[in-house]
Amino acid sequence: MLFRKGNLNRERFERMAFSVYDSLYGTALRLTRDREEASDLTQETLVRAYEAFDRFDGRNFKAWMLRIQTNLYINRYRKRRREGLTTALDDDDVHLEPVAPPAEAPDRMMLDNLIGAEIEDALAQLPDTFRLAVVLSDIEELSYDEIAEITQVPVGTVRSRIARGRAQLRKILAKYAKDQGYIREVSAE
Amino acid sequence: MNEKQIQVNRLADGDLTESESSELKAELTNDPNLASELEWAQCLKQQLKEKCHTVGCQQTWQASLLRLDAIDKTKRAEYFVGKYAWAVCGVFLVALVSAAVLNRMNPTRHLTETQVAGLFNSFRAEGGSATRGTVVDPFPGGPPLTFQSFYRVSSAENGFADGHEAVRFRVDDGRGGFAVIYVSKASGVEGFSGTNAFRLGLINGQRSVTVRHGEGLLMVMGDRGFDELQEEILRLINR
Repeated sequence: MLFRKGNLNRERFERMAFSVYDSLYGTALRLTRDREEASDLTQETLVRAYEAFDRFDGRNFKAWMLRIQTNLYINRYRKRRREGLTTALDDDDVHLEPVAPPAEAPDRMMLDNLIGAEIEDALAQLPDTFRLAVVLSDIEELSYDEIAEITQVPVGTVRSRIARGRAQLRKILAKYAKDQGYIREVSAE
Repeated sequence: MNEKQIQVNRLADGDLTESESSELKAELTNDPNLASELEWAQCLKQQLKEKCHTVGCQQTWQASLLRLDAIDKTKRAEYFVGKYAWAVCGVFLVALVSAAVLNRMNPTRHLTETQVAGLFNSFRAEGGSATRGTVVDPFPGGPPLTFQSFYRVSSAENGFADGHEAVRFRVDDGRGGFAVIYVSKASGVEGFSGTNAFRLGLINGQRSVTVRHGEGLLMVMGDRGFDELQEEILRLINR
């Protein structure tokens, strides 16, 4: 009886996990910025989730998995690279200037010229907390509430992180486009 | 980063309520900076969504499945042990008890030293008896033992040695005491050796001599030499 139940659980878990696997792996890759570490983190997430699958409340599997992954990343990977990440993870209070000069609209041509790898590079330059918030919001298309649950911070902090993350990303991309000659000037000078 | 900029990003993400949204949209028409902020947020969202695709690594997925298999295997083993451990233990216990009972019911003919040592304990001081100069049968139908007239028999006790019926006499022949033991359906004592019919050895540090007598084993042991003990055995079996 338990064998049968176990098999059903496994099948169900595998099916659900596969449906969010690309998101898990992608988020792991964007968090760790290393294929091997991303692979480790994803595997560990799947193992932990499978072990705790009985406790899954059945509501939002993707958010549940991403929460496990984020916790693992915070506990495991941050420890490993604590020095490099301390600033990045505590920088909610960092003051970021609005990067777009007043009244300047985004140059769609500039953005259209950018390829995925360039955007990923820019994303990788964001501090961890901002990057995670932007990734979960704009790539994984999760709501602010879901992101707050996954990252275990108040929803107000999530709003702030997303806005700041985008602002910083915009600055990096504008500089990149300028360096590459996609645009001559971004600022209103 | 001011509150308005955060609100603009919330608008781009559809996080504002209807009234908040209407209020902000009204402001946007009059504030080109804010309008620009909104356009940037929408553009970035679109770019990220369109250009940042990741396909999960197949190798990692397969490796994860192997790890899940290992977890399942452990769970199955734990389940089996949890459910059937008592049964396995029970079977083992029954087998152990059965073996012990069978052993008691079918004793070997060869006594071990420890079994013989047990002959000195736990005998009942009742049953067999002997008097000076008499011939006694240790067991009904068994071979007789002859007690010489100068023997003084201080006790005669019946008992069992590893399932074998046994009788024990304490005898004094004037030169000191010795014990006469007859164990039915036994043929020897492990570790005893000898070239003729007699087998010699030490039990509890005391010299002992055994000889087959009828269907059993006659033993004499005491604090004297092997030769003297052999002589006593010969007297007892009347040779």
